[in-house]
Amino acid sequence: MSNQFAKGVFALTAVFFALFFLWPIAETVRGAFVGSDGRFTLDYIAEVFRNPLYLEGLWNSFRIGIFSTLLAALIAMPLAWMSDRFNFPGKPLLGALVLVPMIMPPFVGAIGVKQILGQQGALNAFLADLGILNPDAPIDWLGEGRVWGVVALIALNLYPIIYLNVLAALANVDPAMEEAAENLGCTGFRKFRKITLPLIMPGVFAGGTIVFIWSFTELGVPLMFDFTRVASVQIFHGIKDIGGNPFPFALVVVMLAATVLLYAASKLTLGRSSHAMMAKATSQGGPRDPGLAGRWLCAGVFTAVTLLAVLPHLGVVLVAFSSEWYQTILPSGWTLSHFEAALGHNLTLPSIQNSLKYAGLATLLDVVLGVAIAYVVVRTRLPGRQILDALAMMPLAVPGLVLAFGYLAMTQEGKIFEFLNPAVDPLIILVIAYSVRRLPYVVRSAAAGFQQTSVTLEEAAQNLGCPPLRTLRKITIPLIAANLLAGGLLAFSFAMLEVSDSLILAQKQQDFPITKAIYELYQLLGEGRFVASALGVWAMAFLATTILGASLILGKKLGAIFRA
Amino acid sequence: MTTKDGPISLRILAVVAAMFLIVAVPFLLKPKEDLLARADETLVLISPHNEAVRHEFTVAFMRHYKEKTGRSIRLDWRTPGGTSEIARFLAGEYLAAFENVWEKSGRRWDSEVASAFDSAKVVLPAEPAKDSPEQAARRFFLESQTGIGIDVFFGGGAYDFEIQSAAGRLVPSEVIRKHPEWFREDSIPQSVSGEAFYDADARWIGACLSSFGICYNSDSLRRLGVTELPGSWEDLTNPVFFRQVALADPTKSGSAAKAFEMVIQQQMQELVQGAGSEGDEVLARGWTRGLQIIQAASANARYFTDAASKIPLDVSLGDAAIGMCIDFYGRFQSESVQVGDKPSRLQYFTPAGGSSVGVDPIGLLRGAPNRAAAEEFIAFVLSLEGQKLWNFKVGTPGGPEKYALRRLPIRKELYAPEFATFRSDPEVQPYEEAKLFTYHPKWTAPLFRVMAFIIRVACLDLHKEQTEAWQALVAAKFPREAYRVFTNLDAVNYETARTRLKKALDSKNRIEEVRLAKELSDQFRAQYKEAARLAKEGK
Repeated sequence: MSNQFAKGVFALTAVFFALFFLWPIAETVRGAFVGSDGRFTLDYIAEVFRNPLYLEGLWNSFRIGIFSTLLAALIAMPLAWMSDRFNFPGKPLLGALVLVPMIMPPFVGAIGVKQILGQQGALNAFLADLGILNPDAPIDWLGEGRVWGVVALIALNLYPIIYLNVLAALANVDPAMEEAAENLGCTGFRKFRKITLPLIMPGVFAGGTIVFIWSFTELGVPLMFDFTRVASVQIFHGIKDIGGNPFPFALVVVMLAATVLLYAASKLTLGRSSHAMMAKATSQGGPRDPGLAGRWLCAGVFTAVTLLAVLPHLGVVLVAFSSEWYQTILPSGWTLSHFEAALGHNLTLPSIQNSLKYAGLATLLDVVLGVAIAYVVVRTRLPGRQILDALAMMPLAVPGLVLAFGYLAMTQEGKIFEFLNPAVDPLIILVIAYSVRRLPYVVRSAAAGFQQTSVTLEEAAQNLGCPPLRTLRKITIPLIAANLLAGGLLAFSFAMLEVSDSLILAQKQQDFPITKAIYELYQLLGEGRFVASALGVWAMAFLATTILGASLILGKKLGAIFRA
Repeated sequence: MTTKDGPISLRILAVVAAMFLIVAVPFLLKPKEDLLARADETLVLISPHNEAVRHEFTVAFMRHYKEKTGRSIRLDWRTPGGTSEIARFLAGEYLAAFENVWEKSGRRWDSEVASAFDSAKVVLPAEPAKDSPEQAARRFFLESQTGIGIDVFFGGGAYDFEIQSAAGRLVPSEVIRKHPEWFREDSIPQSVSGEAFYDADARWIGACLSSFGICYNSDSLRRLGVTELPGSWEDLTNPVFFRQVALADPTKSGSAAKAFEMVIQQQMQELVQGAGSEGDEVLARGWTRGLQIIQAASANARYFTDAASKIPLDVSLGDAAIGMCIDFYGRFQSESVQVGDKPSRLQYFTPAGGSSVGVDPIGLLRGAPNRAAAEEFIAFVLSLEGQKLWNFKVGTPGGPEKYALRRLPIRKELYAPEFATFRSDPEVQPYEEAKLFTYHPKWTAPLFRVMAFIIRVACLDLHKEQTEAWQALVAAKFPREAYRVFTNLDAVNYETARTRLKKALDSKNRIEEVRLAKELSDQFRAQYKEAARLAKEGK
């Protein structure tokens, strides 16, 4: 495509990012740089590094990020390997369910976890039933869990991201490489370490960075454990302090800078070590039959991991159907009335319609922007494209409240974006907010699509006189459609589950998305957690069906997400 | 994406059918009455009240308004979150709105104007001609109709409303002038036991009552071997409750901060009664004793939460054994986990003589777009008709239609025996309870933010070090020297709090507050480490 066209795309996406990502952040965090005299100061930033509390918070965040990523990789890689190499019973269904652990509506996740890991929860009841645990001295899993509890829960929540990447990477490994290694006497784990792992490194890296940034800045899970000495929690509590000190925003700035540095560092060290293959694997042997024991081992491991990962979801589902659940393994009473209360509430139906509208439009916008950014990053040599690439990953790392308050500030009366004021109609600003935060998924998957598709096809079209936009429409988009669908699906699912922007920007009840409806139901005294769980179950069922349907239609191509 | 072979298309059909079913259910269950439908008028409210309260007041007021004026009205509730989000939202919106008004009047906007216009510290001289630029900005704001498109602020603590009034974001309502008969000692008293129930200028008026108390799980108490039922704030310090106490976060909620203030005031009162004097030295001892109780309770705590409903829920589930809790949350949760006729496992009580009764107010916002309807709503909420919604059972005459709110009305008339059968909590008599405690604003009210700050630096921020030291103390059975070091609060004593700490917190230079927090936190960290070390040595 012409250089001019590429520059135009670059400029447009850069302007979008400047306006709807950097500006709102600046609106919120600028207090961190203004002293009492109204002048620029770095005092607040310096305080972050002088205060051992915040250093420890950052250190804990870092540990959570690293260990969650390692554990998630440890869970995901054997699964991906099994799935790539072997046939076993239930494989299509287990493969389709792999994204389900990630679909957890906000607020109700904590209900499910608490119901299982609480002192009087299902796990302790189970252990007491087995006679391993004295019911009068229950284990306080959440109170004692701290870093390791948080790591375990995050890894079980996020391993699907690495799984999908590695699966896609494995599918692209030319079997000839491994065969050559075997012929030369390199077998078993050594073959994996020396040959396979380096070949799939780009996939590991792509999934790993998303998991790392996600867990480094994760808020919900540490809050479930009441683990407060984590940077994200310190920011969250600081922002909510009624004293209104700009200091927490200094912490936001440090956290963002740390994320950028860590991303850059990992890209330099790990992302570079990719070994390009001469040809794309064309003649794979396909998955083998691992024998009877192997078949059941694979199916067993797969099922066990999936079950473990969806335990919180099961907790939520059971809460939604229960009338009483205390000190027992399963609820002691059952009812359907919570569904009636939740789905029959006057906020519910409009909120479902709103969410579909906001998330759908945001996903469309993401696909357009994602293609544009990935195109610039992969297909051009424009200076500054790497910055755009890093920038596109940043939305994963910004605390939701920071962006939400930023959008609020920049759309107030008298400001340039007054016409987007959410109190009048939040549609546009919510679509933008949702899409900015979900952009990384689409950018990564689109970038993977571009990398897997030879540029020569586009060049051929252009040589034959096809103008750039038409080439994009006729040649490029159809070639990367699977990647876009996969990335778009994730973007859509997470947009449906969005919290901060929904709580702050959707101000009028008729504009509420489903997450805010869940929040409102959750606030009801007494029945609140049951009714919120019921609506949460509806949302999970809806998204699970969407993903299941898409993965059945797309088949294996779903695995192409995120390949960088 | 093909459907080459049969089974796949069958599977896809199944998925499509499932999707259709999932989407159809909410349509089938759609409520008959649409509360969000368009109407002749709209009233916009901002509120931390939950959906149950909002629903009942919406339904009742829509009916009332139609009967009275013949016009339909829609209630547009804005709920950005709890009180801290609302405070932030109001401050941000008024700042932007005023910047707009100010610039449209042809004046230049600068940081001086921005920080002065809503600052209560800017005192206006009688003569506008003598105004400094800051005073001119403040005067212009107070005389303007700057608005943010919201009419009414409903719910939160009196503290939050005081802040909004002082900033000038709330304006006087005409309700006191129009209904003087409600504002008498036998209906809505001006103050009870030292707590103000409404603003004399009618910028805010209490709409219902609330107080902080303690809830506990009787199963957990049995399990922990606690035989004597808790009865006071000091029971939260019992080491048997290590990591089993749930506390509210005083830095994020004015009403939680108020509860901690009560712990301190109770100690002050006991000492003042004993000594027969109100001298600073007596108050100082009470201050330290109160803070030590908070410190020990914190050392036992699992967490400090800003979600008021979390504590009774966690306690009822046995995830915490005991916690501080807003009265109606405790009562509500207690009933909702009751099984059959057995006493509920969740019990709530107000510590005798340890808690004052406060109000959740309502107020009119500056620049309200529908002022007439806003005044009507405020009057409705304070009328007996509106007040009955707070505590009447569902379906009783004048009671709520869907949710029992279990809150306590402010109007004294409704505590009369004739209404007892209609009320959800006929045994609760807040005006009687309030007599057990008298709040002395001058002792601690000026230090309201200082208290929250001290609790933050000595307890919340250092919770890990604090609980580690406490664990060591408990294990060593509280050796004297270690205990002395742990409980040493000289760095934040009454004198220092009133001078140095207050000055730093009042300062415009926020970096001072950050530095002070760091300094105190260093000191307490060292103390907690030292206490842990001494305890391990048995000293």
